[in-house]
Amino acid sequence: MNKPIPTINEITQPYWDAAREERLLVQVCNHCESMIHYPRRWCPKCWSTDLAHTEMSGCGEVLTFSVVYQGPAEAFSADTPYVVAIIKLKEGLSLLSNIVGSDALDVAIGDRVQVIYESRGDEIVMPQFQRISVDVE
Amino acid sequence: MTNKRLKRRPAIVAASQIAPGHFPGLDGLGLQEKILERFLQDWPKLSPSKIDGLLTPPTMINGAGLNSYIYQRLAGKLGITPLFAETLNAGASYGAMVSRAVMAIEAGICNAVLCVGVGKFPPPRSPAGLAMATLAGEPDFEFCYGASIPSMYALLAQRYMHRYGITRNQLSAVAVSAREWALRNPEAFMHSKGPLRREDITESRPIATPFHKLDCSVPCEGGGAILVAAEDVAAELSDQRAYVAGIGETHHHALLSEMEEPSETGIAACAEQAYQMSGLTPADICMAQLYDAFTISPIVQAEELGLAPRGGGGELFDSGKTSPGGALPVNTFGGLLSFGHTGDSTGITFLIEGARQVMGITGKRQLSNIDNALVHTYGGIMADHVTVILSKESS
Repeated sequence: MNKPIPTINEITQPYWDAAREERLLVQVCNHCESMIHYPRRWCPKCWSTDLAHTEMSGCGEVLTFSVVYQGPAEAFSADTPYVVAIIKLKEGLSLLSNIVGSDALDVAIGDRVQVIYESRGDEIVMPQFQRISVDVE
Repeated sequence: MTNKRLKRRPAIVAASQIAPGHFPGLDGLGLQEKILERFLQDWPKLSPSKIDGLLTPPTMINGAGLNSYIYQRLAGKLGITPLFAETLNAGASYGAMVSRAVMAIEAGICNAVLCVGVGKFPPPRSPAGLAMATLAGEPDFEFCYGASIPSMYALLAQRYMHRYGITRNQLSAVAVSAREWALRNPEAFMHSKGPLRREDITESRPIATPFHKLDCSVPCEGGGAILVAAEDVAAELSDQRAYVAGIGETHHHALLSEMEEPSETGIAACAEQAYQMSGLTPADICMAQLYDAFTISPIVQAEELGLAPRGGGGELFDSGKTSPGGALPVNTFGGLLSFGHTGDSTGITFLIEGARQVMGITGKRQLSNIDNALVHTYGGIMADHVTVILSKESS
């Protein structure tokens, strides 16, 4: 059983296209300069519909995490235990992802992490994170 | 501040529920009928002509998908032609049902609103369980990362524990307190399971750190009903009153991962509305019924509601204050952790217990000197909130 894959539409296409090129691309509001994740049609801070994209460094820290022993679907069973986390990117934006890698289960709040990219099926590349000891520019 | 007290002095005048269990032969409507049969037996003064408002949650269709037209069928079954009827979603919706009933009564639209709760907790990974898991988060940017409902609560819990020093042992104290109350309630799903030791919780199967199986509410099926009525018609309906002294409502974050700080819930702002309307302060509260889907939930609520200092919610449960004999009884029916989580009907159990304790009709577990009860229900991952303060006296 395959893990679920995102539904790509006209709003989320640039995000997933960039992920395939191993870039982390988020929306930015041209009016109030807020960064926005996940992608949408208007800025939730000021309601401007004038949105552009900006590339993130992919560096951040773990705001919170959980080691999951029972996934929400059978497709995640092979991965258990796995880590779900909310990452605060260096640029200030938060997103939900997984912490992966051989030391993932040792993760703690405040750990520095760096984005990596995991293929899921032929079409999709999912941004994931792994722990690092120093900030990689 | 402006005086927002309610002119028609609305009260919960009837409240009953069935013992939670499993009812494989009953669909959503069938279970509603079973619940209302019990309700009508408990409240014999009621008759169809006296009910002019109806609120129900949607029920599941074939285990997946929601029937949002269920109120029409129920109105027909009840033989009523309400002036006000709709389907409201679950979780905080039972507090919201009281809120909507109060609005309709205060606006002069109707006099007596029947609020029905019915639900079956969908088994994890069943079609309905999967639907619930995908609906609870963002399907592409949360669910695709394997974020289950327990793991999203866990993200909130771990952050909250990190910020405010709540301990693993204090989480266990919440489950132990709930079980102690369930041992006093013959209708609780876990009534006959005996007391819990704290190590029982951490020795149970891990689900999503920090949670083990016994940190999670017990899935089952059931429901209940309450009748909210204006004081001027209440005497025709029943001899009991739990007045709505104060009510507050807030709809906070949509998604946990959108929050700048994922341990902020917006509860304090919601509670403040209820305290101001009632003229009561946290120190005046006699008992609290706090939505306990997971052991972290009542700790966060107790702090945000001002019933414990910030970072002191764990100590509140750890010290025994919330347990039988304690100074601030919490979830005196056993909570979702030990009474049972009945899916889409869970929120109503807190209102029913709060109302019945204020009415003084909970039998052997009835507490003395209960002038009021604070009931907090929420929906989403602690995102939608309603605080209701019920009072024995019309203020």
